[in-house]
Amino acid sequence: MNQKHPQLRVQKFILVVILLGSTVATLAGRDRWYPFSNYPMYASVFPPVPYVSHYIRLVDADGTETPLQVRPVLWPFWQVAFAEALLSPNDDAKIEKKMRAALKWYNRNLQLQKREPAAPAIALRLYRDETSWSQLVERSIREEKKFEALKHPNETLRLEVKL
Amino acid sequence: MKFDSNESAALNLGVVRFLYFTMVFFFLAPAGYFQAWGLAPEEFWKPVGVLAFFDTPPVSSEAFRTINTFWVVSIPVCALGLFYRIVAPFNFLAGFFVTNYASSFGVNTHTYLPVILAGLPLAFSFASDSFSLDRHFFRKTQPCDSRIYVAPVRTMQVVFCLVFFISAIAKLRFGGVEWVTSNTLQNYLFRAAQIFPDAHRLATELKFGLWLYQHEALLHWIAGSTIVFELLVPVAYFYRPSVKFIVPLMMTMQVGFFFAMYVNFISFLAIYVVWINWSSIDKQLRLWIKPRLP
Repeated sequence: MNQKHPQLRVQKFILVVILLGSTVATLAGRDRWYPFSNYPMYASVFPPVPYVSHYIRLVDADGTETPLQVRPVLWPFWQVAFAEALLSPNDDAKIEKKMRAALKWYNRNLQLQKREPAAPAIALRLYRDETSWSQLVERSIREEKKFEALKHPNETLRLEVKL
Repeated sequence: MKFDSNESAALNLGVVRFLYFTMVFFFLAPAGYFQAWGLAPEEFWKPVGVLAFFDTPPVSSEAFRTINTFWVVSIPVCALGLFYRIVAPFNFLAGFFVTNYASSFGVNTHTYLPVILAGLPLAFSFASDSFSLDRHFFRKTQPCDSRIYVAPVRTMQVVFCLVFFISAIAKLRFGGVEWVTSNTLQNYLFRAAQIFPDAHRLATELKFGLWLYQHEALLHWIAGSTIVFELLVPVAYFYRPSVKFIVPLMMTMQVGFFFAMYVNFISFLAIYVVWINWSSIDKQLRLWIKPRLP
């Protein structure tokens, strides 16, 4: 047996990197040390208190509001990922900048992908709502609609960007 | 995992290489998902990992497309084991960059991180010494130490174990006992039905999550056993007979997550392959085929 084969050293080094990276990321609670992660998917108690929801709606030329359907126009984002990316960090100036970019991107992709409705959106609105989780669930079941499709009585307009 | 010869160990690693890259090619790299990140608005740029460390700005979409194309094209080359020792490290670096880049737009996804990480020991291994075009064309002599072929597979197993173990630790750390005793899992199921309207049609149409939602007691039991099972996964690394229970159990759990919470772990198949002794299957196949040959 050759104890000092270079390949064994390489593999040992890789093992140490993986073990160390994963352990430190977990102990430090870091989720952004790619590709190490503390895998916090669904790890917290849910719902948090207070439960804050955000709804993103498009406004067309008639002033009609519709919930933003992220896929397929804003692919590779998907619905929940887009909202997460938009709201993190939770800073109005940064969110507004992203909303402006997203609106332009949405209209450009709409044209490129030749999707219906072909008419561009003229504004993007972000609403904030503090309806409790239990009320949301109850209403969603009663009206057989998703949270996004409901207009919430206590929601307030947080930000709006126009073309 | 024990092998009776260096040839067997090399064959096992060769098959793992072939299956890993094949699955990465079919389940992770395709469909233009990663390539599309090259066109995402730079206002969303929020680098993570190495890109954050070096404070890297987003690259041009052309440059990103070139790197992504190299990654995708070199995957089958690695699967076939052609010029593997040269191509595989570059393939890993390209894949690492592409996936790191895709994770740098504020989107937190954990479904492919372990698959990328498991590619590290494989990329720098002698995985083309058997079951490869390198072996076929160049007939390299094999080193005399089977540990060279076993070590990368064992490290990939470590990655597999860490994923589940750390996931359990995260639940205990962030949620504690309340994660099991509260209605957390039940609420997550309802939330998944709300926030993934654009998720996988097969899973959303089945509405398994909403069916489970109505069975509160069952969900407490599932929550508790999920943590226990995830904590037990490292046993598979140290105690080989437990593999046949633990590994299928994890696979069942992940299939359950897909149908209940719409989280697609299919790319994990690329690391499930490390738990099978492929050289032993090869031997059995040969024994079965030999008497049937004319």
